[in-house]
Amino acid sequence: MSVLVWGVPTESPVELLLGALARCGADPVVVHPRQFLQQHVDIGVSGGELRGSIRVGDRTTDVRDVAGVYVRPIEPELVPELRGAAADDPAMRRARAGFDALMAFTEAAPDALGCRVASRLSAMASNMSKPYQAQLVQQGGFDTPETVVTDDPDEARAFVRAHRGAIYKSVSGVRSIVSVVDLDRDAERLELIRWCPVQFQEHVRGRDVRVHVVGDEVYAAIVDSSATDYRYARAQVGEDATLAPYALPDDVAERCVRLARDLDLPFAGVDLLLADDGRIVCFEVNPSPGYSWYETAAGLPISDALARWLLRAA
Amino acid sequence: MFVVLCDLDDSAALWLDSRFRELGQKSVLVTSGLLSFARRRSQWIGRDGTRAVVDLGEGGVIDQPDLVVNRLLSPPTAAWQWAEPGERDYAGAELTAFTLSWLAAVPGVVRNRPSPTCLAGPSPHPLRAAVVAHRAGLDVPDADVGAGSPTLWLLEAAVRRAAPAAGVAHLVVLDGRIVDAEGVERRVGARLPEGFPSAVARFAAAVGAAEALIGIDVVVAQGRWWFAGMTPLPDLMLAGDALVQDLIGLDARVVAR
Repeated sequence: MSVLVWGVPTESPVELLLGALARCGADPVVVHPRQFLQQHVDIGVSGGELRGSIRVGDRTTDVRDVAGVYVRPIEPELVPELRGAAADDPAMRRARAGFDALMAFTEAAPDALGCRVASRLSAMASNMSKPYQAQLVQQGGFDTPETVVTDDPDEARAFVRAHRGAIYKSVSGVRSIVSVVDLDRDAERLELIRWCPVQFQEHVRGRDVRVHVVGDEVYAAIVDSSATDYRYARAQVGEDATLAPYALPDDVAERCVRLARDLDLPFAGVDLLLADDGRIVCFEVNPSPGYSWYETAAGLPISDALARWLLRAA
Repeated sequence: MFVVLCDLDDSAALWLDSRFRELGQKSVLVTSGLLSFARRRSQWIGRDGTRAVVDLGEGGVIDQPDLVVNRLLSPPTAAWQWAEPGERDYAGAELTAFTLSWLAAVPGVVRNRPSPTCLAGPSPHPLRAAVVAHRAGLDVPDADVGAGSPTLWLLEAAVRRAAPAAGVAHLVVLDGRIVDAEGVERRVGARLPEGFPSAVARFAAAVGAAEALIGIDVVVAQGRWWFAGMTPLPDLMLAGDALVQDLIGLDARVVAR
């Protein structure tokens, strides 16, 4: 049985995983999005069953021999070798065909073959709407910040005043940077929200915790930073955030695992906040966490856990 | 109040809205264009639950609808059509995200709730749908991914396999049940195979459409009904008033007049 790694091998999460798989003695099939000319994916259904093969260079793998797949591709349109290529360019068409066939395989393989996939692209889509995902997070037993998504400036002002301050961020996963609302400074810009609803949230204060769920295991890091968005701490407060391992209470760990399972995300990054008022608030669940910083800075063996999870079915 | 939510070119939605009104229901047709120029769109999510208001001005206020028939494929971006491409794409992502969240939580009976991959409802990848259909007990033709468009590859394969005697049918399935099954049999000129309706129900449940209005394409040849794809946008007019009455009946608070 084989493990398939669909991603750029030099990108740090992929690189860490490949190292972990090597330590386990595995020889994964690496589908590098930039080397689409050396690949051919043949997928279909025969007698109602999934069938096909994946060829990378001289190596051909029957899809029924794939036990696990790590999914972190890039769209053909973003591949440097295809920059500016038209949709009907033969190279683009080939890259697109390969991408679509692999996507089809990863969508169907868990049902058809019991294959482990971290994670299906369709499952990752829940993160494209933060308030939608917040509803699922609430169903999973976590608090979420009080939120209004609105295109009404008066509504936004009332919300900010009611919560004695608020942050704003995108509704989707695009341009997702957290910023503090300043009603005086932002007065003019606030009128622009009439064109498109914006997400405002109560500014919950506390310590950030990032929980990586890998199957039934959790690996948590606590963040030390005064920045509003610790990922951009250097830009916001002049120094990087620091990370340390954090022992999650068992019940919180179980809720994280259950939430990730409900979202069909066997590998997920759950963003929690240990609020000063005692709540444990969940901001969002990252469906394809770029975990390298948490692994190296907090010493969490996330890639080893991911490799074990992918190989467990093998 | 009934709300029929759709893109501008959805003639089936126009028909449904007019039938609702002819049958005495208060129905509002809300196109993506109308939604794009709404007077106010707000959703609150917090410890007290989720609520939303969409104020369409003269089109009415959507806050507590009794029934929503959602056939919205595209985000309501008409107001952004002349924006710079980068800004338009960003607005499209934001409005898709808002619409997904709004429709996921809007109260009342909603057919369909959106899915993260399709605003109009459950939309599994066609290959996954084929595999799940087979598991549910439906006949599935052999097919290669990539032969034809992603949504039609299975239908093309089924027709090729069964031709020249094949007939193509479209089933409207509400909450796992084939609407007007007798009408389907009349149009096809053949009886539904034994076990077919229950296999359809199992399929619907497996793809998250146990409470949804979907369409299933089938190719009928030599007594076998081949699964050939599904859509969250069924051809409503094929099911006619049987569907209209079923939809009205979904809301126990509404008495069919």
